[in-house]
Amino acid sequence: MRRVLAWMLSGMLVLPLVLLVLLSLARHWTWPALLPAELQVRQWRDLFADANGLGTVVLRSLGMGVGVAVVATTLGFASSRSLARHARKGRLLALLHLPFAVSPVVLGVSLLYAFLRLHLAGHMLGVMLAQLVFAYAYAVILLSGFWNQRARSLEELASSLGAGRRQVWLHVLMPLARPLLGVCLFQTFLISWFDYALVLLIGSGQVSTLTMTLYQYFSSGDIRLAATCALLLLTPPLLALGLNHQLLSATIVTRLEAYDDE
Amino acid sequence: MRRLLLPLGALVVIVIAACGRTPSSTPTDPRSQDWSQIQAAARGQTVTMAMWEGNPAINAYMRDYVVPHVKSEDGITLRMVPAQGSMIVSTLMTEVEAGRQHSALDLVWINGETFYQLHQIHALYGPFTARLPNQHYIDWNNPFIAYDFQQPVDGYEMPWGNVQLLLITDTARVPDPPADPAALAAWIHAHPGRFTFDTGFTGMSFLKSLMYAFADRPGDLQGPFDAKTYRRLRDKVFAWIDSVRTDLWHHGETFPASTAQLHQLFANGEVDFTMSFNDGEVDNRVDSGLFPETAKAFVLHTGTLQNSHYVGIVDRSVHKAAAMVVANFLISPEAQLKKLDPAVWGDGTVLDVARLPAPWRQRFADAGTRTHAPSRRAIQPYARREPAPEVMIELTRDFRERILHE
Amino acid sequence: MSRSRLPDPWIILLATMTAGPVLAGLVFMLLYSTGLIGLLAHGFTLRYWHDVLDDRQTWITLAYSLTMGLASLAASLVLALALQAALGARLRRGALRGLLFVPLAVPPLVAALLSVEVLGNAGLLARLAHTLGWIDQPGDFPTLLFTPSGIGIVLTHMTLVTPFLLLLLDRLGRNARVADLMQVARTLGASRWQAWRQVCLPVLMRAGMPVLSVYFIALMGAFEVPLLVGAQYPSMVSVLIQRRFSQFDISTRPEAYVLASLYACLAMGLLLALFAWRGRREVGERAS
Repeated sequence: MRRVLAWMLSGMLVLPLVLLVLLSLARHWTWPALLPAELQVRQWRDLFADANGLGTVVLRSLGMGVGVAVVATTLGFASSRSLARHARKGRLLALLHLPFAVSPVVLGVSLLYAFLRLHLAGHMLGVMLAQLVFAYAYAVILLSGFWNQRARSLEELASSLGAGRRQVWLHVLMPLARPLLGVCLFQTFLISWFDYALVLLIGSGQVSTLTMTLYQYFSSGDIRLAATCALLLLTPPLLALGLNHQLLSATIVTRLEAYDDE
Repeated sequence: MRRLLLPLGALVVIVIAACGRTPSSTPTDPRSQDWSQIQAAARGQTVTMAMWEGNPAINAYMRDYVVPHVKSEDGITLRMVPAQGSMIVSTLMTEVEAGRQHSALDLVWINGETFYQLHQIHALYGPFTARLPNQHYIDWNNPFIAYDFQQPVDGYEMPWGNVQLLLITDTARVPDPPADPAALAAWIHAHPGRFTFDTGFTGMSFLKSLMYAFADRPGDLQGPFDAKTYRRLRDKVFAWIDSVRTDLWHHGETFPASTAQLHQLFANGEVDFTMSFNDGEVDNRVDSGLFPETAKAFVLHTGTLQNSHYVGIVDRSVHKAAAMVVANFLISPEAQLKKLDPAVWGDGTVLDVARLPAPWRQRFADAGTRTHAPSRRAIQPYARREPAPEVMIELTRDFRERILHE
Repeated sequence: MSRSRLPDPWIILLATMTAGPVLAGLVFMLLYSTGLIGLLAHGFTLRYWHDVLDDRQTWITLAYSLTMGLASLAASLVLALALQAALGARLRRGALRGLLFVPLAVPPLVAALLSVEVLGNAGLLARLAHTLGWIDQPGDFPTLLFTPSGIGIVLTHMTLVTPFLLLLLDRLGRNARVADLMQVARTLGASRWQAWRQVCLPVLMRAGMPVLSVYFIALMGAFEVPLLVGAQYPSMVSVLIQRRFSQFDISTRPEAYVLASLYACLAMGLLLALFAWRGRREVGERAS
C-alpha cells in the first residue's frame, strides 16, 4: 500500500515535466486523447526561429538574475550580521517581511510613479531594483540564521588573535558561510528569474524577460508554445537542483533558525 | 567610520544608477522638413515600437522582413517591445504624469479605444500621414480605413492593416454553421455547453456585431455615440444572452477572460466555436496543428465588425523622423503584399489596389488565398463599421456589471 | 569592541531598502487616491475612497483573497501532514526525496499553465475519466477551473506549496526530536494516532507557525495563479488591482490605488499582529 502511494507520488512529481515535454512536441492533442496523436518539432523551431532575439532575452534574464543575486547576497550577508546583533531584532525582522506581505503587484503599482520620475521605469535597472527589494529582504532573513553562537565566537576569537576585519571576513566567516551563501545566491536568483509582476509593471512592457515571453505565448492561445518556453524557463533551476539539491533543503534549516530568538 | 563605507557606497551607487539617465535634446519637428531631409535625419536612429508579440507569425514578419529592410535601406534600427492596448495608454499616461519630457516609445500599434484614449491625453503626434509618400496609395475613401471606431483619423494614425471578425468552427463537429443569431441560439440549445465568447476585445466585438443584427437600420450605430440607441441595442443583446445563458459553456456562470483562453477551449475540444479578428489566423493555426484540419472560419450573415489597425507616433518621441520612415515602409506595396500572404500573416491591406501601378495590381490579385476562411471579397458584404468608442467602453462595463456580477 | 554612537549603517540600509519602498509606495498611493497628486487631481477628496469602500466588490474581493489564502495553505498543510504520516521514512531519502525538489523549481506561472492542461474540463484528468468510461463529454467532468469556488486556485497552490511543507515538516520534526517524543508517548501507553495528534502535531504547528503565517499572507496576494486559472468574478485582490490599474478608462487609476492601499494595510497589519503575538508569547514563556 505504501509502495503504491510512493510510486503515485513520484509519478505526480515528475508529471509536470513530462507534460511540458509532450506539449512542446505535440501537433494534434485534443479530446479525448491521453497522448498526442501526432508529434512535431515545430514549436521548438518557432521558439528558436528568432535565435538572436531569444538569446538576448535569455541573456538579459540571466544577467538580471545574477545581478540581483550577487547584490542581494552581498548586502544581505553584511546586513544580517548587524541584524543578528541588534537589540530590536524581532521588530526589524517583522519589517523585513513587509515586502512579502504586500505582494509584487501592489509594490509595482505603488512605486511606478517614483521610478518614472527617477528614469528607472522601463529599464532593466529599474526592474532589478524593484526585485532587489524582495531579494535583499529575503537574503537578510535567510542569512541571519548564520549568526549563531558558533559563528560569533569564531569571529571574536579570530579578532582577538589579531586578525584584521578583512581577514576575519575573508578567511573565517565566508568559508564557514559558503554553503548557506550558495543557497542564498540560488534563491535570490530565482526571485528575479521567475518574476513576472514587477517586470510587467515597472518594466512597462519594455523590458523583455523570459517570463514576459512566456506570458505572451500563453496569451496567444497556443499553449504548446508556452509549454516549450516554460521548459526553457525551468532549465537553470532544474540544472542547479540536479547538481545540488542541498540548495533548497538548507534553506529550510536556516530559515527556521532566523526565527529563533537567542 | 570605515564601517560606513560599504553600505554608504551601496546607497550612492543605487542613487547614481537611479538618476543616471539624461535624455537627449529635442530634434526639429519633421513636418517642417521635406521627405529627403526626414530620411536623412532618420538615418542612424533607433525606433522603439510597441506591439503585441504573442503571434509568432506576426513576430516573424516584423523580425525577418521589416527590421532588416529598414536597417539596410534606411539605416534605422527597429526595436519591438511587448506592449499593447491599455498597457500603452497606461505607460504613456504615467510618463506624462511623472513629467517625462521624452517618451520611451516612438511607434505604437493601436486602434479603436486606444486611439480614443491616447487622443484624450494628447499623446499622439500629428497630423503626419500626409507627409508620407506612400500614403497616396491608401484607400482613404474606404470608411473602414479612414475612420477608426467612427473617429476620423485626421492624420494622427497611419492605417496598417485591415481585419474582419470571423467565427471559427470545426466542420467535422459542426457541418452546418449557424449564420445568424437565431440559428446560433438554436444550435446552442441543441448543444448545451459547447459555445461561449470571451470578455475581452474580441468577445465584446462579437456582441457589437450582434447589435447590428438587432438594429433596425445599420445607420443606428454610425455617427457619434447616442446613449439611447446604445441602451436599446444593448438590452436586446443582453436579452439574447439571457435566452441562451444556461446552455452556454459552464451554464453561462463564467466566461473566458481572453481570446487565448477561448482558442484553448476550442483546440482542446471543450467547445465547438471560437472567434478571431485576425481572419487569416485559421490557416495559420491549422498549419501549426493547433486547430484541426477541418476547422473553418465563417461570418454571420447579419454582419460582423471590420476594422483597421493603425500605427501612431508618440508626441513626445525623439525619433519622429525615423518613425515616419518606418511607417512609410509599412504601407509600401511590397510590405503590404508580403503581409497579405496567409503563409506570412494574412492581414488585409489598406491600399487601394486599383490605384497601384500595373505590376502591383496583378501581384495583389494573385496573392495567396486562404483555404480555411472565406475570401475577402466574399465576406465584404457582411462587413460592418465599428461604432463609436464609447460603445465599447460602456458595453464592457455594462457586461461586467449586469452579466458577470449577477 | 567599541560601539559607535551612530546607528548601524547596515540597519539603515536594511530599513530603507525593504520597508522603505513599501511604506513610501503606500504614502504615494494615499496621496494619489485622496486627490492630492496626480494628472486628474482636483485637490483633497474622499470620493474615490467612498466609492471603493461602498462597492460590494471590494469587500468580496478581500474576503475571497483571505479565504483562498487560508484554504490553499490549509489544504497543502493537511496533504503534507497526511503524506508525511503515510510515507514517513520514504520521504527522507532516496529518489522520492530528490523528486520532492522538482516542484520547487516550478514557478507559479508554469504551474498555472499545467493546471489548465490537467484540471480543465477537456484536460488530462477529464480524458482519463473518459477513457475509464466514467464520463462522456467534457461538460460532464466537474468544473475545477475558472469557477468562483476557486478550487483550481487552491489545487494549483497545493502543487506548489505541499512539497515545500513536506520538507519543512521533516526538518521541524528532526529539530524538535519529534521521533523521540513520540517514542516516550508510546511507552506511556498512547496509541500511534494519539501520540501523533497530541504530541507530534502541536510541536510541529508551534514550531512552524512563523513560516506558515508568512506563507498565508503571501498566498493572499497571489497573482499569476488566479490570473490564469481563476474566475473573473470574484477575483483575488492582486488580479483586481492590476486589472483596474491598466484599464482603458484611465479615471479608475485612483480607485486602483485605494484598493491597493486597503489591501496593503490589511496585509501589513496582519503580519505585524502575527509577529507581535509571537513575540509576546515567547516573552511569556521565558518569564514562566
